[in-house]
Amino acid sequence: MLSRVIAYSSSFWQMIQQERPEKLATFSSHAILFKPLYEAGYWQKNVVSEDSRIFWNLFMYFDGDYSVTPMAYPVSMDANVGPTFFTTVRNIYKQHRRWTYGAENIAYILFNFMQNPRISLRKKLSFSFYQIEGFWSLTTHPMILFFVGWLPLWIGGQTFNASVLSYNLPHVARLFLLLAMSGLIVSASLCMSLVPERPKNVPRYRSILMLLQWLLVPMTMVFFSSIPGIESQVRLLTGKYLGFWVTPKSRKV
Amino acid sequence: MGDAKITQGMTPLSPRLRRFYFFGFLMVGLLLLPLVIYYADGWRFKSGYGFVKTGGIFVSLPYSDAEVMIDGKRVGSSSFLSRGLYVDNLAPSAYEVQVAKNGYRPWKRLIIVEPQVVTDMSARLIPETINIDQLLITDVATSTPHIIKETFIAYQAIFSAKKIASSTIPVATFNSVGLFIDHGALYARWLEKNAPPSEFCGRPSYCVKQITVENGETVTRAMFYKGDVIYRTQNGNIYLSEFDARKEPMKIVIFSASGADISIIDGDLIIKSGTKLYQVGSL
Repeated sequence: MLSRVIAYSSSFWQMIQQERPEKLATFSSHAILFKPLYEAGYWQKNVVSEDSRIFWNLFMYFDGDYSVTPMAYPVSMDANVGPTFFTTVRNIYKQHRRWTYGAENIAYILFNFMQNPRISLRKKLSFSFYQIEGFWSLTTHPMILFFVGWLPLWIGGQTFNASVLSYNLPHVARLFLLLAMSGLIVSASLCMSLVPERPKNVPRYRSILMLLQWLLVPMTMVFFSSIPGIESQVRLLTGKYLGFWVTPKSRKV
Repeated sequence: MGDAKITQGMTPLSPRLRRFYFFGFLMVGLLLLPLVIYYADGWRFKSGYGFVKTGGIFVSLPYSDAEVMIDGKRVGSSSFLSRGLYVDNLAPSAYEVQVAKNGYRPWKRLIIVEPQVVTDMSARLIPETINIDQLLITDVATSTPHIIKETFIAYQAIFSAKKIASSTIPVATFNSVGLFIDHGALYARWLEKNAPPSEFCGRPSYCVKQITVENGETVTRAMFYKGDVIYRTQNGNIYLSEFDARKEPMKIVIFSASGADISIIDGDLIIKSGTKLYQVGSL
């Protein structure tokens, strides 16, 4: 259930991204024409995020005249499931750490933007912003949302903690987060419309679990987006670089 | 996958429509933000007064099912999960807060609510009947109110130990509050340099460092018990009292006998009267 809801979250995020192609870089499932790939000298073999780096390689090679076109095409991928629950959790964590390690592209992008005067300033600024803001918000926002209601109370001091504002803040934050949870209802509804019809031998409660799994999202966002994201960025900061780790895939029938 | 179709040129929402949604929601957010901040900060519209800065109260309740009333009007109660009640939207003024629970003495406090500040208090619920059992000597170790002779003698010895009373050395301390006996009067004093807790504040904006707990009878011994003050007077009265600058701190006589003395032994409140020892339960 944990693995499934995380996989759905990632898929839905990528579906949202398809709606704003001007911000897109390739990630995971994508296709590239052979001609530009050949012209740019294929892809880098010395980076972890080679699926997104190839986009930036080509973007720089063609002086910014390169973009992603979203395609409505069915792809099938296994959710990250290990033989035991603990292995699954570990694998999901490592997989997300690898994904968030895509922040390594930021240095490549900024360096090449500085070196390439043929790319328009508008493109340079917008792509730099999308990439930096994307990796920053991915790691910090789940934490902020998780602690926003209580953080002022912890750091507010005695005078603030006796104020009406400090008492009302958790209630107001809870109200806003509840409103934001409507996004989860939409996700849960979409999820139910995407899954195949429940086979007759599968009990009804499994369908109910597929709805309830979305309640895990506030927690999964912290433990499988924010924390691995922070680890990735701290690794990049301190020079403790990651190697490529292939997610082991297994199936539970 | 062989029959899957590629729908190239899948059309996302137009940039114009997306901009419309973005700026639309941004406007809603910008309009809501000040309203929410002012609301959270205690601003309310009161008919006839316009926008006023309100305050609130927070009552900590020791048990579930305790009812809270403000000026005689029920405003809520504690439950198994929630042992505190927050009431906001109170116009700055004086209020009488009462707490009631079946089997316990009613508790009340006169508090002053100030704008944008929460006045907090801890309700103390004392059972209507306070059990005081005489400790009897038995030959074999067993649960109270029976104790073996050696324990009885040890308890008696604790009572005969002398305690020094001074205006500068506290006779007891609890949560940075010290109890001082000075010329027979009993005071609770805040020992830290920072602002004291609400018990020392007659109103949120006016706090003192010292509160008089007893200034009528001559106090000869005092100590903290479960956050309250237990003290003995020269008249032989043993009191259980709250310390609070706000009116009216609860004060009840729990035992009265000439020469009666008190001590807390192994967490139990023990009274000595003559050669007899008593254990106070259910406080």
